[in-house]
Amino acid sequence: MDLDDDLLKAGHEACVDWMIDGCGLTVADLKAHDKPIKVPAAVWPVQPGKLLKDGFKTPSGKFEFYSNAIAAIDPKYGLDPLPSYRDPLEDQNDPETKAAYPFYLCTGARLPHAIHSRTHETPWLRSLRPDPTIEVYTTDAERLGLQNGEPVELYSPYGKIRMKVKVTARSQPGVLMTLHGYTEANVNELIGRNHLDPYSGYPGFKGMRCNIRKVQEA
Amino acid sequence: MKHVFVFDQDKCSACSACMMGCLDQNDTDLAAGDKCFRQTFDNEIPLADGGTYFAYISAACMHCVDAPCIPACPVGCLYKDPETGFTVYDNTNCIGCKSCAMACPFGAPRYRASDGKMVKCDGCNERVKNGLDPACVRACSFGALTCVTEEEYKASGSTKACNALIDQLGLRKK
Ligand code: SF4
Ligand code: SF4
Ligand code: SF4
Repeated sequence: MDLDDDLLKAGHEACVDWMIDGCGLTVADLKAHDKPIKVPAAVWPVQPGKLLKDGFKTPSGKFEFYSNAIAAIDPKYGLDPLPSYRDPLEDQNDPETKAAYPFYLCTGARLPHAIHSRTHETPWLRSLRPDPTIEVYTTDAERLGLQNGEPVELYSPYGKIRMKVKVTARSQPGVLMTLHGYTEANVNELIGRNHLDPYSGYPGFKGMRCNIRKVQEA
Repeated sequence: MKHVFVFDQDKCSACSACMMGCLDQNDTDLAAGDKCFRQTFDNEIPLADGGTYFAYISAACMHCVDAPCIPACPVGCLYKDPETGFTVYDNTNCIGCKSCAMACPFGAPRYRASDGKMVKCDGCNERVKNGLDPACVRACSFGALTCVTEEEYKASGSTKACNALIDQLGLRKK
């Protein structure tokens, strides 16, 4: 891939050097020595203030509330150098989409026994919540006639998955809350590939418009 | 030394680490259909004022002082360990009649899928006798579940946990 990025072009080792910069070692150092190697920069007690002394990695060298890097980008992209609020659903707030997908799907839920996609297949942990579960706010559940344990389908313009209902007062009205990482109910399938953070280009995996409906079988 | 379990529901988050401790200690075979001796609950109880009460509970055998499961067993499987005070068992003669489960107000006795014999929380009797905490207590990072000697329990003057639990059970029936 001929990406417009000098660091990526410099290759894997240069990228790793960039990542571990500040520890006092490079990949070349690691290759040249027997392991383990002590990390020279790891001195106790930690001396804070390195960035204040040497400057931050910003155009001004200061901690920037007003980002000079963003200000340098062509205004046609509509980015604000100040950290102003933007609705994460701004790409899907047209009246038709709003009407068809009135719920905010929040996939940022956490469970103590699940670490992303890693521990879903561990039987003891999985036993605590055996089924992929969607948490529905009490008043929404009442309105839609949804009961605990009922099988439902979640759908967005991009896909559909099946989960079981847990009625809760722990979230907010209009929010459907769930966990990512299930093979058989992959929430990422509901998220459009162009739903991206306009600043970093990172996929907006944590939120999407969606809707919910009852189904016969789980 | 007699021991008691103390559960402080104000500190419990229903994280279920205690269940993991118990499953591990007892090598519980979930795939075979066996169940954890300890059970956690995260109940949401709607209140009259429109609010919600979040009731986080962890429960296993209560090791009742006057344990009704003991006389209920026709073949004498259950008994008190005189040292720890825990309700322990020897299921060699168990006929799987489930009388103990019917007598137990807390549903503590379980029946092993492989041979139908009763198994239950024994307070991690061997651990406690050897100066260790029960596995579930060891796993609880919040200090919600503790196991103390009867003397310590009396000295603390606290009936809070017990009362709270009874309140909860009353509330949950609503
Ligand atoms: S480990 Fe402690 S806090 Fe977590 S569920 Fe068990 S008793 Fe509650
Ligand atoms: S099995 Fe039930 S009745 Fe027996 S000691 Fe435990 S809680 Fe009490
Ligand atoms: S005392 Fe031991 S057997 Fe009983 S619930 Fe705790 S870990 Fe399980």
